[in-house]
Amino acid sequence: MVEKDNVVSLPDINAIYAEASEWLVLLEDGDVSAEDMAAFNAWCAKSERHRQAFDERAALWEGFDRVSALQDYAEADETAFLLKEKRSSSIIGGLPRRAMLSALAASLALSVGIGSVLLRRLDPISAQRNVYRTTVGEQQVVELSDGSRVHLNTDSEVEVRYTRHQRIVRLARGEAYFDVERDLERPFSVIARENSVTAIGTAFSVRLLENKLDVTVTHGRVALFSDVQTTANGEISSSYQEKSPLAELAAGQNVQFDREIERIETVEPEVMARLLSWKNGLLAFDGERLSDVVADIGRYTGLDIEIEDDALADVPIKGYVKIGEYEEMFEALEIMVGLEAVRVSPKRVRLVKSWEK
Amino acid sequence: MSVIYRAFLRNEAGIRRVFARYFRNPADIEDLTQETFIRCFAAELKTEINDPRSFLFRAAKNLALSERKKKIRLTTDYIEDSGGSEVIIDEDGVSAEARLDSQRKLAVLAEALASLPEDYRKAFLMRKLGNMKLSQIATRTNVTVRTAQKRVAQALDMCDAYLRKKGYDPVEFGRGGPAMPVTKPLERVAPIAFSPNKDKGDYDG
Repeated sequence: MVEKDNVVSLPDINAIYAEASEWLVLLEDGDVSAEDMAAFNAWCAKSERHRQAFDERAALWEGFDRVSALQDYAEADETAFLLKEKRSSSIIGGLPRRAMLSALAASLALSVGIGSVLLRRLDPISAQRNVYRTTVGEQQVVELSDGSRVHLNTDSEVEVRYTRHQRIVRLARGEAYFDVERDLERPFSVIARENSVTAIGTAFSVRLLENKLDVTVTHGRVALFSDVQTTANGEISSSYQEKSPLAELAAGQNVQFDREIERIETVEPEVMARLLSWKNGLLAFDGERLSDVVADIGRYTGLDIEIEDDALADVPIKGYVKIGEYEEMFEALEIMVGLEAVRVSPKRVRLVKSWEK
Repeated sequence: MSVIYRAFLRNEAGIRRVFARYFRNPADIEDLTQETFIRCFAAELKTEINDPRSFLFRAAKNLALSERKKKIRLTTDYIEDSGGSEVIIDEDGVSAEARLDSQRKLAVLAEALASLPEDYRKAFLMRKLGNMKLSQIATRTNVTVRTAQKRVAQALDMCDAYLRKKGYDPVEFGRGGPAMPVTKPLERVAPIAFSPNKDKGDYDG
C-alpha cells in the first residue's frame, strides 16, 4: 500500500522544481540574509523531494558553466571574419565597378552564402503531376527521387514524370539546370517545344526562349532530338529512340535550336561560369548590350524596362548584380552608364539620362 | 526563440548537406553541423544577425573548408608520425574524444538557451555568461529584482524541460564539469582521398 505522503501529483512536482530554481538563483546571487537562509532551510526540510529538486537544479546550473565557451566562440577570429564579411557584402552588394570577369570568378568561389538560397527544398505544386514552379525573381532546387537535382531559375516550371524506363522532365517555362544522376537503364530527357535533350548522367541547363531552346552542357554529353512524340503515360515513344539525334553536345558547348540547330558554340570556362551565374544568385554581364541586360533584369523582376534613348541600347555592359536586389541593379546602371531609373508605374520603369531628369 | 536557432531548425538539412560535400563520416557531418550552430549562436549573442540563414550557410562553408584543411594536415602528421606514439593530442592537451563530448554538451545547452523566449534568455545569459548580479540585471533590463530572479529561475526550468523533451537527463550536464585532459589512443585516421572538384555538381565549384 502506498503511503499518502509519498503521492505527489505532477503539478506539485513542477511547483517544487520551480521553487528550487528560485532558491538556487537567489542563493547563487550571494549576500543571503539570515532570514532567507532560515526560510531556505525550512523549505528544504519539507521533504526529501524538495532537497532532491534543489540538487538537480544545482547540477544543471553548474552544467551551464559550460556556456562560457560561447564567449570564446563569439570572440574567435572566424566569427569576426563572418561578421565583417556580412557587413561589407551588404554595402557593396550589387554595385559593380566595372567588375572584371576574373573578379566574378573569384566572387563565385567566395560568395558562399548565396548558394544557400538554392538548398531549399521545393514541394510539388500538385502531387500527382509533380509540377514544380518558381515565381518571378525566385529560384529553387528540386531534388528528385533518383537524386538528380533541378535548379529552377526565375519564373520557371517543370513537370517531372519518372517511369520504369525513362526519366522525363517537361520544361514548360523558363530555365532550369539539371544535375543528373547516372542511370544507364533510364535515360533522362528534358522535353520542351517538341524537342528533347537526353542524357544518361551529366549536368546541363536548358532555357526555353520564345521560339527555341538554349542548352549549355557543363559535364558529360547530351543528345538533342526534335519532333519528339510522347505516349499516353508521358514516355517518349520508342520509335524515336532509333532516330538519330539532331546533334550531340559535349561539356563546354552551348547550342540554340528548335527543329534545326541554329548555332553551336564551344564556350570558355569563364563564359560558362557567367552563363550559369544565376545558379549562384548572380547576374553577370561581359559586354552585353544594354537592351539585352535590361531584358534580363526584366526576367528576374517582372518589370517592363524601357530605354528612353535608342542610342544607348547598344552600350556594352560589364559587371554583375545580385538577383533580387534590383534597386541596386538600377543604382549600378546609374553609376556605369549614367542612366537613372524612373518608375512610370508599379510595373514599368524608364531609363533616362541622369542629367536630363 | 533566437533567430539563429529558428533559421537553424529550418535549414538543418541544408547545412548538413554542405558538410556532406566535404566529409563522408556521418559523425563528422553531425558534429560540424552542431558546431555551425554554436558559432552562429555565439555570434548572435554579440550582435544582431539580419539574414540568419545566409549567415549559417556562410559559417558552415567556412567551417567545412577549414576543417578539411585541418583534417588533411592531421592525416599527414599521423602518417609521418606513425612509427612513434599512437597518441595524437592537440595543442590544448585535450583528446579529440573529450573535446567532442564537451562540444556536444555545449551544443545541446546552447540549443536549450536558444529556444528560450528572449527576455528569459537575456536574463539567464547576463547572469551566467556576464556574471551579473540580479540587481544589475534588473537595472539593465528595467525590471524589479524579483522579476529578474524569476526570469533566471524560469529560464533554468525551461532549459530543464527542453533537455528532457530531447531525451537528455539534465543532471548529466552537471557531471564531470569541463572536459579534463585525458590521454587516450586516437583511432587511426583514415587518409581521405581529396580532389577539389570530385563531385560533378557545380561547374564553378
